[in-house]
Amino acid sequence: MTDVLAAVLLLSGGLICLLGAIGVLRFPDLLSRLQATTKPQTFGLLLVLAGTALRLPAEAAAGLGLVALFQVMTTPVFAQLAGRAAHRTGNVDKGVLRTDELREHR
Amino acid sequence: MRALRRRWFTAAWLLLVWLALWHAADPATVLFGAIVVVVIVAAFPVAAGEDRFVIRPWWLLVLAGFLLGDVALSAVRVGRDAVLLGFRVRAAIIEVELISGVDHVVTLAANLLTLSPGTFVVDIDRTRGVCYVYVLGVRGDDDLDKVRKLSHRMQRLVLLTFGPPRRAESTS
Repeated sequence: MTDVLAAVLLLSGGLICLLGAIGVLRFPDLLSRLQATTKPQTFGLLLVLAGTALRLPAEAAAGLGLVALFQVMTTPVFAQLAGRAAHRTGNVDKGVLRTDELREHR
Repeated sequence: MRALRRRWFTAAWLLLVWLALWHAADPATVLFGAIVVVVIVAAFPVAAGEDRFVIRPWWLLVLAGFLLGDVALSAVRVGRDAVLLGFRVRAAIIEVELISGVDHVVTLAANLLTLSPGTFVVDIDRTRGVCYVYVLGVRGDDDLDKVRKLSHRMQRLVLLTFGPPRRAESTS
């Protein structure tokens, strides 16, 4: 039963990481690709970690919890910095944005 | 020592991280962990007023559940957009009102919103009390309304979990 659950978690985590990689290839501009690189990867990694934790002794699983926590804490910071820098330097494809209320207030 | 008493929560948390990193809880590990924690707490003082940081366990659970659901749902949505739309995907940057002026509440809410796939906070304007949220996979105006509602709910939950006592009561 644990094996089945671990397999489901590992496979779905891998699949979601794959979807993120497809997004990096297919999305049109920096901001949308930034979404694809950071977000599905985080969720995919969480699933993979959960799947791995099921197969490990409890004290090793605690270390994986730390990996998950730091990933969840650092990824948004990176995404935010990169995204804001891109927007401030004008590296935004205006054809992709339907509305940009931030530009309207500059 | 006074700083340590005031920041016992930070100290306990750091000790927990230390033990998790060593995968052990024997007396020697705990002792050296405690020494490191005391040094860290003494070396990095926080500004006055920041120690009103509270955590309400029940709301933390609600927030975690809400986040997990949101992240899972939108990971699938971004994945679907990547496969089906690709280059034809459209996005928007919208203005969202900040419901709290408390530093750590704004920071946490912005970070959690950024964590969810398909949305992230591009910029925060503290003087006007708004943040600007980037939304990926926009089809119509009701998608934008959905994100506005989502970010308000997220902010309310963060406020209920971590907000200073008085403000949390006035919004619930």
